[in-house]
Amino acid sequence: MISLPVGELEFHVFVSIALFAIGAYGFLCKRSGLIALMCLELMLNGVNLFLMTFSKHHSSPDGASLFLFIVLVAAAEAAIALSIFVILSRRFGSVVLDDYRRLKG
Amino acid sequence: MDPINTAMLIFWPAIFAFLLFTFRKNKKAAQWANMVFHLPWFWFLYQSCLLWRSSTADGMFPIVFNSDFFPLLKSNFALGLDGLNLPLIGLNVFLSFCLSLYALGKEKLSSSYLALFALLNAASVGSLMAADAFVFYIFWEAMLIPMFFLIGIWGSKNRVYAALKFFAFTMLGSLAMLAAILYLWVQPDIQSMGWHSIAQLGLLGDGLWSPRFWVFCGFLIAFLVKIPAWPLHVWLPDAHTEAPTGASVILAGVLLKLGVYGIARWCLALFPSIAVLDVVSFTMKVLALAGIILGSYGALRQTDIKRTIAYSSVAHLGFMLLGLFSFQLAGFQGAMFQNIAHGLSTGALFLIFGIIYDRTHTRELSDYGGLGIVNPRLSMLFVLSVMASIGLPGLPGFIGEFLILNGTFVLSPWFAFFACFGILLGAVYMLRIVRGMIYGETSSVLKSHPIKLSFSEWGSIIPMIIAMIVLGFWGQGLIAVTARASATIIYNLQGEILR
Amino acid sequence: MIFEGLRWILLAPLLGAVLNGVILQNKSAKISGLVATLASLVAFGFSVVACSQLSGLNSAPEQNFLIDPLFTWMSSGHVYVPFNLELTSITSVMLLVITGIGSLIHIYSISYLSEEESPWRFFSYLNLFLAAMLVLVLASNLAVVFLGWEGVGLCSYLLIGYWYKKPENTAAGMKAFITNRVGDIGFLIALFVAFSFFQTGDISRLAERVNDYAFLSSGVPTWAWYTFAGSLLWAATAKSAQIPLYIWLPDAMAGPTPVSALIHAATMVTSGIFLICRVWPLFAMSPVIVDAAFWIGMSTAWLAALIAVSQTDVKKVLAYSTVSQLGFMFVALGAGSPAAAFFHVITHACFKALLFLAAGSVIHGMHHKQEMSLMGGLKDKMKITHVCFLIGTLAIIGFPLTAGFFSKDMILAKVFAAQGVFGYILLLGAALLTAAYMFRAYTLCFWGGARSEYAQKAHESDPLMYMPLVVLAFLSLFIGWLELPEVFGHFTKITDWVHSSWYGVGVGEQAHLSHLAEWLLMLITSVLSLTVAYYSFKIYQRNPEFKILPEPLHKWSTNKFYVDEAFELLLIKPSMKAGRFINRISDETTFNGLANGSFRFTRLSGRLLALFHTGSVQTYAWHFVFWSSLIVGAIFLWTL
Repeated sequence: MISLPVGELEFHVFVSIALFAIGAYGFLCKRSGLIALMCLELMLNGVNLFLMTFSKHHSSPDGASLFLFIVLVAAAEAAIALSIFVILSRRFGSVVLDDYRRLKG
Repeated sequence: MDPINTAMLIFWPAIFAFLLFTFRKNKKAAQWANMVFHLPWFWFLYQSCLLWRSSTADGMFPIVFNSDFFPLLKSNFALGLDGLNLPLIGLNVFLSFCLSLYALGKEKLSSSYLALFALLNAASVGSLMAADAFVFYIFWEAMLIPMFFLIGIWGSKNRVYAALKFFAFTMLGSLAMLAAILYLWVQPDIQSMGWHSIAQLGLLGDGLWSPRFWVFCGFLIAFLVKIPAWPLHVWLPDAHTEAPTGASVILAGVLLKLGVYGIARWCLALFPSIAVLDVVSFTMKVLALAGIILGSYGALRQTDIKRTIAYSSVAHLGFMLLGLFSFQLAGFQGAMFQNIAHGLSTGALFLIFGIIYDRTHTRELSDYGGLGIVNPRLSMLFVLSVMASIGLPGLPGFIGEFLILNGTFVLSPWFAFFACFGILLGAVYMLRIVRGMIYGETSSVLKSHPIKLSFSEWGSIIPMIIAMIVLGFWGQGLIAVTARASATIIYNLQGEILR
Repeated sequence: MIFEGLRWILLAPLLGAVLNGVILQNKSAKISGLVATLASLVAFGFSVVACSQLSGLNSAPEQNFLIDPLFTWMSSGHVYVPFNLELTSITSVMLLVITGIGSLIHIYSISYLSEEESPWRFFSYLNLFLAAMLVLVLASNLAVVFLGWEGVGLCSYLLIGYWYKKPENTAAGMKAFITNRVGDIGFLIALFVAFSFFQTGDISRLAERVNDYAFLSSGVPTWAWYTFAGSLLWAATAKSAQIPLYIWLPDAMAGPTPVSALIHAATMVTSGIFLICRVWPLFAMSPVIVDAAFWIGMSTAWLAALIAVSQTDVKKVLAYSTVSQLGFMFVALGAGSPAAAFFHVITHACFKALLFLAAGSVIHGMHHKQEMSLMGGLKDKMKITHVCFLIGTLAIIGFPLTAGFFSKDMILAKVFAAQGVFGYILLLGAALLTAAYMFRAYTLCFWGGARSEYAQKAHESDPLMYMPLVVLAFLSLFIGWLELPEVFGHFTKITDWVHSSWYGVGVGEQAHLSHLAEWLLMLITSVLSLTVAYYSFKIYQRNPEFKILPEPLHKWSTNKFYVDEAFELLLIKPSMKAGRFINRISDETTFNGLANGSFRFTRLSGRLLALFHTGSVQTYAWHFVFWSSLIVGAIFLWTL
């Protein structure tokens, strides 16, 4: 197996953390639901990159197989989430998250 | 005499509950089907009686049915049958049958009501027969759910409050029991959660504040709430008052009795060394006496007829608690007898009043009067039930109270003496109801609502009345059933006292 | 000896009650009355047969009874109660009294209730009463006696409330039942003592305990004997209407008059005395309690007589007179002579039933008016009733050679022998008051001019009503001849017949009086009674308003010495108030409060926590980030 050169690992870790952080920032702060959803995907991909990096680093298939599962689930989740948003936007006339306050206790 | 028949006592009502759901369109058909469904149940009861009679197994609580349930929990689906639970199962089947007659032709009582009722029956028979702590707990909790809905949906005005109160109280009590069961479960040397292996469990200590004491208390609290012993009784008047007639009858006839039965089976028989501790028995007797006296005064204060009857239950159940902790055979068997007697008499009172209430829709005593003129036969039956309730000799209530007080007198004469005042007060509050309801001029409410009973309504009351009269004179028949099981328990308890 | 006919004595009236009350429900008094009377007569017939069987037996106490074992009522631990019927000598006499007088009163009732709406109810209750009373008398076990004891109480309650539309009737019924329940506590405690200390409830075995030296030396505590006797006495004071529990009996007169005659004069109210007679050997073990019975009886005899002299309702006079006569019987018990008490029970049953039925006949003729101020001059309009009432009056005041003369004389002699002159004079005073008020009632009813139009229109009752009167009048005249004083020759049928029931305890223990003393006592009693009666008769003919008692006493007397009010004020109201108060505090305020408080707490804390539920997904996410980083940070710092 070809191992990564030193420095490349740090780079990959940095990129994945950056992806995750950007996603987290977007999810927490953006008002649009669609952007929040995209940010969610971004976070997932940050994690995925992380998994792949270390899979390669340790030369073990564990991370890679987990990555495949996550991609699969994320795809399904994105499909469902988007359809939910379609229904929500029809119902409320907007995709702004703050407009959905039905769950207020 | 196949033991599966005994298990069918539990499964059959559960099955017919689901069958009843298929009659959702047709209320009449559901009500008739419900009545017919009781007949096989009687058959299973009869088979179980035969099984019980033929069993020669010595020792306590012979297991008649056993199958793997949940090995991880060390739990088996074990059912036991002896003289303590058999009469109560019989009472449950009998009352439920009477109520199925009562339900015929009632517009309000839909198939879902009947199905919930059947589920309730399955759970109560199940907890009567369970010989495994987890199985017992599951059935015990399962009783709450149908009852909650029966009160909450079919009850009268204040039903939601009453249902929640009932649920909250009994749930809290059960939590204590669950804690006790879990504590037993984590014991390393316990073989299974079966009743017998808990009974043989050593190494828990015998004294006050020992682990065994706490386990005992955990069980006890659940049962004290259910009985309900003073001061945990405050849920009962509300639940009884708001519940629909059928639920009131079963609540008084079976559910409360499960508390008494539970104490006998899961406290006194399982942990005799704790039960005979002075602190425990004295506290219980004080609570019983408080229930008798204060419950009676509570009944005296009410203007609501159903509430009065509910408070009378508090007083009567106080007698039973007193009998259980008398540690005498007479007292113990008296409590077991009173279980049945009170189920019949209070059940009949609730049923008769329920039938009247169906027509008048008022529970206030002041709205009544002159029922004796309007319907003399029904009044006669009502007076008879009242007399049974206040313990007139010749009716079953007397045998129970008499045995209980005789048993109590042996070790604690003063408790017996003060409990006698409960008998006196019982006459006062019950005759007050009779006087307000039956005597006097006909009230305007009764004038505008004729009390004519249908054939099926008579059919639901009369078996109960006949059972009362038979039991009042031939009480020995029932006492003999409980004899062997009671004697073993009392023998152990008295052995512990001597130790 | 086993005699299975005993059960039919019970079953006949029971069947009659079921037939009338459940099956027939016939509106005609004739048919229901006939059924009930037949049932009662069958019971009487079986009683006669049973008694003749009994009299053929050996008179040794161990063999002198008939027994009919029926079934086991209950048996658990130390409580073993077989439901057996037992005919001993003392019960046999009672049996004849109950079924005999009972049958007469049934016959009388047919006519008395002919205008009622639902006579079947009355006859059903009356038969049920007979059955219960017979259980009380025939039971071999004290617990079964209690069945009859409460059963007669129930029937009394039902019959007092027979005219249930009137609120005062139902109140009187309730008062009777509850007062009797107060007494029943005593009976229950006696039963507890019997079962746990004497180890049996069987009456004959209990009585044998007294002579059982092995048992006596086995260490039964003294208090057990005293509790047993004392609580039985308490029970008897309720049933037999003695101080302090006599208050129900005068009110019980609200029931139909035949009921007053049968239940509240002849049979049920004497069951307390009968009970003590049956367990006499045990009762006599506690001399203090026997003395208590004496003084209770004495004070009741006086108090009731003092109230009776000012009552205006004829039934009330008779009611208080009953209470007073029952006091005489208690005095006899207290003087250690159950035979005298029992003899008076029998004679009293005859003449008091007669008086009540005659009063009933008067009331019937007067269109249900009971006030004596409305009567007067009835002696010409109701000739037979008048003669019968007069015979009853003479019997009760102890006119020489009538029934009351012998029984009352026996009591007075026993009291003189046991308690000396003082007790005798006290009791004599009560007897003289009897003469005064009885002749007052008699004169006010039957002599002088008619004082209302009801009295003018009064008519004699029909033969169905006066025939029982005649029979009872005959009995009142001659039944006393069964037991003659020593000086009249040694003819003591009653004592001879019943003494075996007492196993030789307390009988003939007192010193016998000399013949001279006996003559003298008899003379004093008769002369004084007759003088008082004569003056009462003369005075009330002239002045119906005459007051026997001086003024403050008279007012107290008409108000029954405010005993009811005192009970109400001192006992019932405070206890009810206290009970209700405690219940309100404990149930509503404290425990319901706690329950509702915890509900409220749950709801409130829920509301507080709900503040975090903004509904915005992003706020939740912020919470998640914030709290998780807090936790992770804390763990990190902690592991550092």
